[in-house]
Amino acid sequence: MISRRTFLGAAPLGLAALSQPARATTYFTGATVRQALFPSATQFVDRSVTLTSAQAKAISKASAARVSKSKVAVWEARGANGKLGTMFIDQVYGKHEFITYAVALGPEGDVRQIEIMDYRETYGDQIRIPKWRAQFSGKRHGQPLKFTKDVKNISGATLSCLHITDGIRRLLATYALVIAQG
Amino acid sequence: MKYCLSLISAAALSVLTAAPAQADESLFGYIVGADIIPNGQGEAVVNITRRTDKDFGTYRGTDVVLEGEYGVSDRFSVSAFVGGFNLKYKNAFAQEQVAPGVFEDVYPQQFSGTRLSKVGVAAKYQFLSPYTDGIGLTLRSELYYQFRYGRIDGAKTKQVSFEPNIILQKNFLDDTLITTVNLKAEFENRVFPGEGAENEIKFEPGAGISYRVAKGLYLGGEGFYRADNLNGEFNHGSVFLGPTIHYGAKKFYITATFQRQVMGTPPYSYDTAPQFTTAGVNLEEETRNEFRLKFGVNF
Repeated sequence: MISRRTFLGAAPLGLAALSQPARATTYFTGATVRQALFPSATQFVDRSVTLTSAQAKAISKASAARVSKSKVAVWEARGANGKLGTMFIDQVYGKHEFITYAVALGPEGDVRQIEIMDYRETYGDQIRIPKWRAQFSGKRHGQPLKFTKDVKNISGATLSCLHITDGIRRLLATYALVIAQG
Repeated sequence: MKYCLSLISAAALSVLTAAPAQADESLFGYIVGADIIPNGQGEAVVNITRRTDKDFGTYRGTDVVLEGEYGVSDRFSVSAFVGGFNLKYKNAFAQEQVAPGVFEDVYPQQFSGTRLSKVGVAAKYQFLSPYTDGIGLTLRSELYYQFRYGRIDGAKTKQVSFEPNIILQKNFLDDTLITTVNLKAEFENRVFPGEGAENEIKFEPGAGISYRVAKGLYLGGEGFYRADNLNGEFNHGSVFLGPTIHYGAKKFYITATFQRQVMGTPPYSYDTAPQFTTAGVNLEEETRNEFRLKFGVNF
């Protein structure tokens, strides 16, 4: 069992959201998002990794998404009966700020839930609409997730939709190529 | 001057008191991006351009344009604008040799004042999105009526202008590196009091590049070539280049660029007073330096 302090300390990406000026719209903190994604979890084990150059290249190639940061914030959620899944906290570019979001994967690496933790852009927060995020449910690495073809766009939120889609494809590849490999 | 200050104050007040947000906001001062303000959103922008330095005398011009834009759909926006200027110059223009040994003033030798200069409307339609189609393609067209010619001498005029602009935009590195090309033309028909009508066609192709160096902060550069053909004859052309800085927050954005004329065709004064005329630039139709500041908010 990790403490709240350790959890937040190991989640610089999530913390970055908390440290922003008051204008930021924060929907979840690092502590509250884990409760939302894995309400029955009793333990979150820090599995954060720093990607090697070779791993980053492989992920970029496999996901067709740019890997701009080598540090990946990831936790394994455990319940009374063992592993419940994996949780990532990640950031992608908005037009001016970063969009912080969390992704929950099932034990098999399939997308279970996505939550936007922090959104500071003027336009584009329609990505919080559950129906849009539901397009990713059940998706795994290798399955088609091409923006506008497999994932519908929301007019007026194009940049956010595009970057979140790229981010999720990148995280699925990260899970399959690095995290699941142990 | 008081009028100009009032104009600027009103502009600043109007944008500061508008509801918060931000828009199709421009990363550049002169170059226009392919993004469109979203459906149902509005933007108010004040655009201030300071023009200084000619070969002769003193010359200081400040142009102010207030523009309100509204997103009709996610691909189409409309806007309306009003412009004014504060202009003060003295002995800034050389005489033109109209016959051997005969020289006449082309422009008045002095002007000092603040005037409203134009009103207009514009529309912007995006054919391709830089985010979903690989490259952005947008057409922006302006139609305006100008009653004062603030860019040069402040003279009264009756001018109708149509200004189409083909905008291309390509983004790189997760949309943090933005490159934009503008292919702009301007078709003008005008009458100066006591003179006949004249038609002028301006070409103003330009390009800009901007990179996001930190959250909300873009640094880059832009430049453009501005040439005009008066009644079918090439009149002059100048190249401007300079750096651009843009900062965008949730509630506003600000963009500033300094443009220096680095190349231009010789003005009339090159024939009549070459010893006082800077070679390689045109400081009669244009100034040497332009500084533009944009401040915008959305509602």
